[in-house]
Amino acid sequence: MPKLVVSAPFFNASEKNLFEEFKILAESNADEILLRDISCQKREPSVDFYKKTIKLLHDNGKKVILNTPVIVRKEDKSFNAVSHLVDSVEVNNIGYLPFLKNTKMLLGPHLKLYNWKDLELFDNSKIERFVVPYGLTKVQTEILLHEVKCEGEVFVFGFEPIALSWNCFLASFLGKNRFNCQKSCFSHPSGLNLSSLNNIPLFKVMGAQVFSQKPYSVLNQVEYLKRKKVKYFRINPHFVFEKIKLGQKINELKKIIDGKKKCDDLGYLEKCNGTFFENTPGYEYVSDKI
Amino acid sequence: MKASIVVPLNSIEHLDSILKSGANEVYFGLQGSLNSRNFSNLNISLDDLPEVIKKCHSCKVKANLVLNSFPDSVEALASHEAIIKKSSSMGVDCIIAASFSVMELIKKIDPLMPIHVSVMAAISNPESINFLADRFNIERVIQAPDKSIAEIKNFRRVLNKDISLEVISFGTLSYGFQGNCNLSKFLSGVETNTQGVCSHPKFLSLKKNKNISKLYFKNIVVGEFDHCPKGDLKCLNKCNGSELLKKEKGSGWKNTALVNKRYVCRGLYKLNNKQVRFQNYEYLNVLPSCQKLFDVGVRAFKIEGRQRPPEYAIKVSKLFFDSINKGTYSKKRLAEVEKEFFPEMKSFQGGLDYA
Repeated sequence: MPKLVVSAPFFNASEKNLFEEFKILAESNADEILLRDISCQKREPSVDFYKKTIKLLHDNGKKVILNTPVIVRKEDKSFNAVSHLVDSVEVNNIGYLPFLKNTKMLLGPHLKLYNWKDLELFDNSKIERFVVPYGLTKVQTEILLHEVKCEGEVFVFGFEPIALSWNCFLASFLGKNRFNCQKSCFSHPSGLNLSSLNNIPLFKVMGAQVFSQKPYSVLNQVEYLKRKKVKYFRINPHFVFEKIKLGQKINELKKIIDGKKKCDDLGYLEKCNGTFFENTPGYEYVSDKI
Repeated sequence: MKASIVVPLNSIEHLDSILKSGANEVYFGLQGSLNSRNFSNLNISLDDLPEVIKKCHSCKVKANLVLNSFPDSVEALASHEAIIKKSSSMGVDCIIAASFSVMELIKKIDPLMPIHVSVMAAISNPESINFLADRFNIERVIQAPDKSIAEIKNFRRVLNKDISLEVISFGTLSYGFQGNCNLSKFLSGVETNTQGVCSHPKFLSLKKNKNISKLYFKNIVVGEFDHCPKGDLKCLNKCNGSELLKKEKGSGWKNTALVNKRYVCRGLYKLNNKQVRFQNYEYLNVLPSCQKLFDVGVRAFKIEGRQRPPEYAIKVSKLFFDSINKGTYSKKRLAEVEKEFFPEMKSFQGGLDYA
């Protein structure tokens, strides 16, 4: 059976709000939940929050994946405290590899693994699956999935990660930097939306990370990807939908992944981005292609 | 202070002048998609490589080959493999690599070939470098100028002691975390990591409307000029900036004004009704802090700018030579460099300025 993997909410919110959102994920039909927003160590919730959230997700039958930050500037206390409590670790920074011990790992999308030989760096016995890097074309994805020996996971819906900053894009827009940001991203919970001078919606700035401003979607490729033996489909639905509808929408997406519903049954796919996959600029709309 | 000045080389014609500029090492890519600056007329041809290496070595300057794109197919891996074999037999001093598979190939072909970990590998913590050093012959790690002095000191302390630390020290600076930036691809559809195509001038066009010229990156307006990008109002009325753009597209590196714009990450965007850039209009210059950086363990200063004219590399190399060897540099010569290559831009020192 295909599995639906849901990203963690953006961490520019209070622990109370984050927990509410995780509660929605826990009660949804998602199969696996990523525990962290990996873009900035400064806005990490407490270790207690993680422990409480892991319990909540486990109690609701979810598999919990602890994903590691990409840019690591200080000791990752959360990793040390909870990595033994989760089901798998998604590695986005190879500095974590010596600390995995017996935990199974997902090779994360930020490792920049573009060919089978890249995977030789990793202990084969620990690899659970491989998450295809963001922004690849259909041809690149197909070649990769064909070459690698482990199972693959592909990002298919939601705000797509476009870029990370060493400084913090959002702080910079506000005349600050990563040292004196005062967590200004918390004042902009749904991010800053950037359009081109000719009014084309382009980017959503969520702190140190930039996403596509429009949801990315290759949901119309799910059946094709299944034929390429993809079993895991990742979504990042946060802020795409109103919070009140988030659980219901995740369940609809699960039906698409399971092949029980067609993606064009869902009105919200209008004006999605998704053409990285088609080898054209990522910002272009796919509504006519779905 | 015993530190290396690492200088960009983008054409063999100017190699002799660069070798006399005080450079200890030059770095260069080969033509094609094997490095992250895949611009026409920008890189060294494979035919010229033996001469580059010979001349460098005759001046006791190291020749560092940049091979920092990410192979995404069997064919791309084969291309990388062929280049590693050839460059190794020709005697390059090190290979600057970002992809794990390229490092594996280097290890297989020439286990003694030193590897410099490119900034494109996006590795910002010493634990990651140490992990790589257990597997490959890592000689040096190149870091973005993102860290404060305290952070660099801590980085150096934890880093394997056999690995040297190089910091990008001068030039245009992107806030993007290299290797994790698809901003250009999002607008152009062409990959940076695997094709080496970032903010490529081939996607640019200018359209003039009344007294405003709009700079397009494919279909996206990323700039508006009421004067020529060269800074000359009269010029715009005559040329619409098109001459400048023509040169830019033809050479990939000869024009300074448009290189500074970098089109995508330095382009203009709308945030509500304000015009904003992804980053401030600044250029990187750590000259005032060379000694401090040396004191916390930096042993190589990289001058960014393979997209810039050779005179840039020569002039900046001389500035660093004086700073490192004489403990001072000519403020007048720096001002000339600023005026010529970074007009209207403020100087800043990355993470050193912030904390």
